[in-house]
Amino acid sequence: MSVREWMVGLSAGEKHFIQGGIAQDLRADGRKRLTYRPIYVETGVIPQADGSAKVKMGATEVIASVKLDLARPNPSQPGKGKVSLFVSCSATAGPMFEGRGSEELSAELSVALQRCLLGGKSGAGAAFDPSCLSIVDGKLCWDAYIDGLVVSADGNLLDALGAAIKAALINTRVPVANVPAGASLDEDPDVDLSSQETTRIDTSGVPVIVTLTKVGRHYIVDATSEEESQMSSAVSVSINKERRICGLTKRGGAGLDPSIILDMISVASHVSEQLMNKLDSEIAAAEADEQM
Amino acid sequence: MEAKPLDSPTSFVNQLVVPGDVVLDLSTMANQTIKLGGGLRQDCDSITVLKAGKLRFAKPNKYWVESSQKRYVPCVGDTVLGIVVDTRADNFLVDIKGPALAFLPVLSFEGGTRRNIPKFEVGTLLYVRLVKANTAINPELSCTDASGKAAEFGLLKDGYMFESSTGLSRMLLSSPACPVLEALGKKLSFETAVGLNGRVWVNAASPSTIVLVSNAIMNSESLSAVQQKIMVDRLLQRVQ
Amino acid sequence: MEYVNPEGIREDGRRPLEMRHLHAEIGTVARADGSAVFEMGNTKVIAAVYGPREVQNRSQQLNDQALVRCEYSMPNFSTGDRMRKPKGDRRSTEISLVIRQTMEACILTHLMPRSQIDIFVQVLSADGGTRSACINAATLALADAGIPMRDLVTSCSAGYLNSTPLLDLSYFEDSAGGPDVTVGILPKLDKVTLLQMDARLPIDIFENVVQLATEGCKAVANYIHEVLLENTKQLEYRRGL
Repeated sequence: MSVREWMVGLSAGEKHFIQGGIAQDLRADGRKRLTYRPIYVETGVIPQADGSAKVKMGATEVIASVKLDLARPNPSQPGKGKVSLFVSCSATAGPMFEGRGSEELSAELSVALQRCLLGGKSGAGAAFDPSCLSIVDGKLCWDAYIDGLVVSADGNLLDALGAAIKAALINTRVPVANVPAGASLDEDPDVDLSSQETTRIDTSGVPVIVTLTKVGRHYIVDATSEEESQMSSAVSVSINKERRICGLTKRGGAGLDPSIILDMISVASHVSEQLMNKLDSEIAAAEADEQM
Repeated sequence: MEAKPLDSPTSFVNQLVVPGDVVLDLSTMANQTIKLGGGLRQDCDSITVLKAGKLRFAKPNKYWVESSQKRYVPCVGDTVLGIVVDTRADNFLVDIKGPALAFLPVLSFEGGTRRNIPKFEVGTLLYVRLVKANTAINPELSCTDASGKAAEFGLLKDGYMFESSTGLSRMLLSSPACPVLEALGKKLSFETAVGLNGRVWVNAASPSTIVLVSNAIMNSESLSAVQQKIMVDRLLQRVQ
Repeated sequence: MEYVNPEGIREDGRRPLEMRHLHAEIGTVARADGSAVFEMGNTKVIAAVYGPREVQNRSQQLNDQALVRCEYSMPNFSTGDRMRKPKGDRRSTEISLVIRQTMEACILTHLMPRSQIDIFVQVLSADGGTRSACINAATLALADAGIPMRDLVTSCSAGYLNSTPLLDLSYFEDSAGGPDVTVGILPKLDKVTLLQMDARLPIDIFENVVQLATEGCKAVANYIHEVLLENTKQLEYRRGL
């Protein structure tokens, strides 16, 4: 995950400084271990999407978009729309993402986000109920394509992407599709989309993702790429408003004691409340801004 | 030289310029010798700008464009902060944020001989002086001053280095001392090394001082002198 | 199909010779050596420049000039229709090449031999004129990185529909099948560095359309000029002057 690979390495003294600072609850940018960088949210950044948002955390910048397409539901789940989620890393974030260079990280982030936001096959643990995308049971539905794009990378990409997707979902307007009575839906569906009416997706259950990065014996939130280069392992937990865990990913080479994992989860759950509140107010402000 | 007033050029001096601007017309300045610095180029009879910045003029006849970048253009005599990226038999390869890696000959230390070659690991931070810089070869560094003394050059142990812009470095090195360093220096004791390549290194007895000083310097980038003093006072109050 | 109504108004409410709203920001990608966002109406692109730095792949090193590389990418959410395309398809390769050649023409590559400059252009939202927007964004990003340039290249497109020359085509107008002329100029030197057209057009009208696109480039150049000056003014403080 280290973005510093292409940059020059840290000297022994600096490594020592970063680790020592974290042990003293003082990080290189003056933050405490469990403090986030200022978060900045802007919604509606992509005019062609049905919902979109940009999130900045320090020098990390990500964009998420939600696009809806008319489709036929999956026969096994007739009353639900399909949701898919992919992330790509733009080469603007650094020359190491050029060409195929970003594939590995993109795949890692995509899968981690799918795990945190889409829930299992049964649909349990999903960020939102895909049945709100259904138009005609078993015949017609909206397919939601959620895309994340990393524009600038300075650590903590997963949390930033999670926040951007949450904001993009809140920003999404689902057009109301009027199906004429008696229309045959077996061939090309003839759907009236002319009405300006839209509905919203119920986003109250969308979790936030909190990644705790373990440096030395301590954990920090919102690590910069410099700090990530010193990590032994990281645990990302997605937690919803009810403080339930919706997904979990452990990254990094070093093994963790099970009791430490449990401790990290409880810290993450505590931090998630602050992040959720902060994010909700930022998103609300961004939405109000957009409507102006 | 002074006898002939520079009529057309003066209108551009201390003005903001962008690439492509023609700032001097040599055909109207016959019998004058001028010296061009960074960011300017002669194209037949006209002097055009290559970089966005401010056109500066120094008596009697020097012109250059002053600008602030993240990348560094090597220039002989500059002191820079370099990071060792590789070791060869005769040279250390050092990253100085320039267009090419710089060479630091293993013997260019005070009293350097084949027997006492220093051992630098990859990632080591060095305070060095540029002794050769032209586009045909890689820049060459030295860990001694012009008289062969070690002076303050060499290894920077511990501390914390951060990267900013070349403009910030120039501001920190300007004389009289820049307000942010002056204000910090009155209250705290710390060591700092500023490279003209936009790298700044800070060291102090406690990590909290390092964090405070480095953040104060980073914040000062977009502040005026008075604002810098206020910012430092506020930071110090919060700590004490 | 009517692209210009009898009152002379286009589908998006512009007049035939009117350009879309321009917006640019410099230094948006914190980690890059130079970066910029450029918007023309709904078209929005980000450009980031890394370098000049040591050549990464020794076999590509040029001994008399800098190696300029460019990658253009377009995420699948940027267009009206959603498509899933792999990175590096033919269209993006061609646009990468066009951007690279256009930028190379204005960079003084011989001043930085044996080094490498990477230009990465990312489309966020495509609504016609992506090529032009990419070039304009790349120019600003290069200027931000302080890379020596002869001039600021700018680009703009023009077309011809309903027997009217139109400036700065939107996606809707571009897909009408009429000619689309993209021009790139060096405004101060008054030279054309890029000229592309598809579809056919009588020569005398072609001249008019190229003239129109060139005027567009000059307007873009004025805007870019202003943005750069404003940015340098902001940097003034940083130099403590």
